[in-house]
Amino acid sequence: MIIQYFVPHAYSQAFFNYMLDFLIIAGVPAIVIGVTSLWRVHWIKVRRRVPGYFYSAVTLFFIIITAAVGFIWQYDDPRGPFRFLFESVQISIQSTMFSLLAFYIASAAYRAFRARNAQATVLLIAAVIVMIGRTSFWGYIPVVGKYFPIVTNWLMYVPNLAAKRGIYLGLALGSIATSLKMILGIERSYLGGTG
Amino acid sequence: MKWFDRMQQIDRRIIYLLVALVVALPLVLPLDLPTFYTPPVNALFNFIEGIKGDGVLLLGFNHDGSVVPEIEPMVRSVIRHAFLRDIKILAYCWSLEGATLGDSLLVELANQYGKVYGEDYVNFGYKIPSFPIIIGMGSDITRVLPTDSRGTPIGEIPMMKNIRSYENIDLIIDFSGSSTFYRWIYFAHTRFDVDVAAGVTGVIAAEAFPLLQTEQLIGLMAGLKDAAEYEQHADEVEAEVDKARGITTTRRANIAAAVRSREGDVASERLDREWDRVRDYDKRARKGMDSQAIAHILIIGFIVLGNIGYFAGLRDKKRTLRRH
Repeated sequence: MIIQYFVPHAYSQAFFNYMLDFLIIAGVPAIVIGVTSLWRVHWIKVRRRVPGYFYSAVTLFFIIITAAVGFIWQYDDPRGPFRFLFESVQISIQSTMFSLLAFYIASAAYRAFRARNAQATVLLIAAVIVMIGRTSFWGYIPVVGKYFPIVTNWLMYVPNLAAKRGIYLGLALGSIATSLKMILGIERSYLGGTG
Repeated sequence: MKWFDRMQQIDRRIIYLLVALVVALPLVLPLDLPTFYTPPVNALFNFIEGIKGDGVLLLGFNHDGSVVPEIEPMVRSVIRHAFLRDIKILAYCWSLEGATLGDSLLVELANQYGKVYGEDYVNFGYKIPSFPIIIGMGSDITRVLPTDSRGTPIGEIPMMKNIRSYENIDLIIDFSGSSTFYRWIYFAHTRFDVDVAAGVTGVIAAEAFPLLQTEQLIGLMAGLKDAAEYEQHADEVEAEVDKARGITTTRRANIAAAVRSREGDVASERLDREWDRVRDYDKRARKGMDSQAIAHILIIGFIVLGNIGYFAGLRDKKRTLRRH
């Protein structure tokens, strides 16, 4: 498939299209494997009555209910039971779980952001500036208020990005080095050896 | 326990309670805080404004239920903007939940703005695996997406007659709670030079900034703040289009017709309520930003309190040491 990027010949194009079809066909059964695997994992837990098996039973029960409702009523019906299950149960539960972050972040920020040393102080000041700069409150702060979004953008696009790029470069170089070691047979731990 | 120790050890239940209060109260009593524009959102808005004639947007609804409060206002505003400017919309996703969420919004807004499926928008729905489909769309969409989400062959869809590949698509916008926009960058932008933008949650923003700086992303909406900005942009466009061709009156009439078809002949108060509800949805991110802004101030307050306690504790410790 990489060759097709550089050689736009009819043969490479035909092979590329063949591979695309192959990937699509090979990818779809993965769903069947995923659902089967999920079912097996939870079914075994329920059968063996392992601690917390009740949650597995709930999972299995709702897999059946959701699938049955989905087969009988299509999701196209905006007032149908399947849409109700999706929008009023699943979305609400997921949003609630995600929104719990706000509580944990508030508590964690209160406990962690202490100006114990120079580095912690810089982090603390940056956090406060970004928190104000990402809301409309800076508009109410006299004189210096208008600088908050400017400094926020600078913090996000310069120091933050520099660190991010450093991490990305490190990751990429590390991946290349590990891949080379594996190709050249220097790194063998993935085969179960000691390397 | 001394007062400065207490300041450092506020019970987390009190923190949780106060956070719940400051988040909930502005939703009931809106503060209507102003919304200020930022360059990444403006870049996306201006790009879409610059699309002329039969422009086409390809939207990727790859978000899930957990990020709906942040992502949905972005999706809603972009769809509104596109429909107001008569830009055609294609949708394709590899997230099952995103496909359902996106489809609901597309249909709802299309009905409000009087847009026709197959002529103004087409949804390919949930199709996997994404990599070969993204690559394949660069040469021939029909090869990898032979039918739309309703099972209609592409050849039978009028809008698709002039849309063959990325060459006929002006911009791809990926909406997600993770960094799925990388797939469009790797396989669509790099290979086929199609423009890409993203709408992501606040926590993913840092992942997108490097691509924004290198212009691999032409614009970005990150978190509720940017969703609020785009919402305001969409409202301004609607006000402008309304002056030219009374689109809001048409929208209101379409909403009233939908209510009547569902509930029969209803009183005008019911129609007014429905219109208020729809307009409320149009302002969802801005309302949410009231809560977020107050919550940020509360967190800053807690941080300041904790640090006052910390420094007072240090001073007390030094004094005690000096005495001994």
